[in-house]
Amino acid sequence: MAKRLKLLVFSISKSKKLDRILNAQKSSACPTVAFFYITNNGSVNVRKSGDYISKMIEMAGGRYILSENAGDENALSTTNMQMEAFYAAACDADILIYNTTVDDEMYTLDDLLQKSELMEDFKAVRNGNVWRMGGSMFQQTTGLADLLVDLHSVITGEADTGNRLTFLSRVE
Amino acid sequence: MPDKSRYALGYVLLIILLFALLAVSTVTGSVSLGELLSQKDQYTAEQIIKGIRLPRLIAAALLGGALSVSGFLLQTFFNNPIAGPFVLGISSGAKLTVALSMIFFLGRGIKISSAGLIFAAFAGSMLCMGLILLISGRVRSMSLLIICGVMIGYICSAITDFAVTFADDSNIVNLHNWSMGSFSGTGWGDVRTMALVVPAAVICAFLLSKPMGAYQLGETYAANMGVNVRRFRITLILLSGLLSACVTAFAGPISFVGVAAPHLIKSLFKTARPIVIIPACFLGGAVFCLFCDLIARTLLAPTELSISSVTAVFGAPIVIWLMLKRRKGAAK
Repeated sequence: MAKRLKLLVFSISKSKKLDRILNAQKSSACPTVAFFYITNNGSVNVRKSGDYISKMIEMAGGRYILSENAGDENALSTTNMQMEAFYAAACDADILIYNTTVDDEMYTLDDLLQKSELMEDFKAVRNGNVWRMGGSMFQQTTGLADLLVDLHSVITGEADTGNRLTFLSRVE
Repeated sequence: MPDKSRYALGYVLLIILLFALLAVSTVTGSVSLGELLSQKDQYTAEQIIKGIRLPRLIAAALLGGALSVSGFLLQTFFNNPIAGPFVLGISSGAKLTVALSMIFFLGRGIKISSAGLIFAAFAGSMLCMGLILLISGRVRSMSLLIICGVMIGYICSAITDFAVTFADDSNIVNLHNWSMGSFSGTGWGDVRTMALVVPAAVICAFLLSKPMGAYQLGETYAANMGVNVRRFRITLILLSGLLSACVTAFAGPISFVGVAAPHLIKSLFKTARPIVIIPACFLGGAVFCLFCDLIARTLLAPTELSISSVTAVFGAPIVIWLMLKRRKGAAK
């Protein structure tokens, strides 16, 4: 009984948070977001446009900037794209989110620039709007709600006003 | 056709092909020329060409040339047209030591420098070369030597896979991507290192053309001509190992270029004289790899094929043809 009650309280608290985000007015000029990591041979692993992370970025009030480039022709959730295609598509992205759940060797902007010097041309790098997604998000079935809250905080700028984030942290 | 005219024609053809491929590759890619020209920000278009494509193309040309010359040196050493760094398992040895170094250093958060990667690859290729030399002392049949080389390659790949099984997730992803072979991710810093190592080694090989020509006629003949055969053989092996190690360190294992390119060049020039063939092999390898790289990065753009898959598609049939031709020659 106690476990059921806990589960109910947990679900209500999560759904309240999510309702606020999902019912929020979307800005017409929503910030553009790229979610990626750079592989060891210099290509860039990105989420496909139909993937749930890409959809969550849009639910959180952003626009996934790679939706046109990262195809959706098979069941895979990610694809490796060439750096030049990524550079052309995401150079003007407002927010970059680096997926460190696979490549965890990225803590600072210097680490990012070591992976590719070209990253210094990216608008988000120049504006200090680079985030890393770490932790065990993909292993937590209840983590999606927290990630959506994190994405919303980052996209709306609430993360700068002291909102605590669960999976995202700013790369400095 | 007189030999000199054929050589001149061959060189002109290779140089034209090299520059044509460089030009086509510069304006072709996952971002098309039209898209580049229509970029609002001209700086983006410039960066794609200067910062991404040019270093990659130079790397493909330098490393393709290096592989081809490395293959030619091995073919001279073993007096076998099918010998090459990939076929003899030397590239797999380099792959093994680079993989082990990556697991060891990256696991401790230490980034390996270009020089470190070359050193690791060189150690691996020398290890396999040592094994091949040991076997070659006991085995007279060249086909058996090749089979032993292939087996050594399998052993190295098996040990690499074994090490990868117990590596971290991130290392597994990194090693998997690297072992596919690719020229992508090459920056100007890498090109500078390659430009120091590869031309120096190729020039050294070219300077050995005369003793190499004598060695092609047999060890006894070379010794009678005043060649210090032992020292010459060691130099040949070191140069070949250094060239193939450099390729593996920067681009991962690339198959069949070391066999296919020298063979095509020898067929084009109708000679195996090192003084003619070494520079031509370098140009031929560069052309072959530039062509394969162009296919690798444009066929399924914006994603990319592994360079080794493309070189195998074009290179392996040449090796089969070579083996059949050799068998036919032996039967006669």
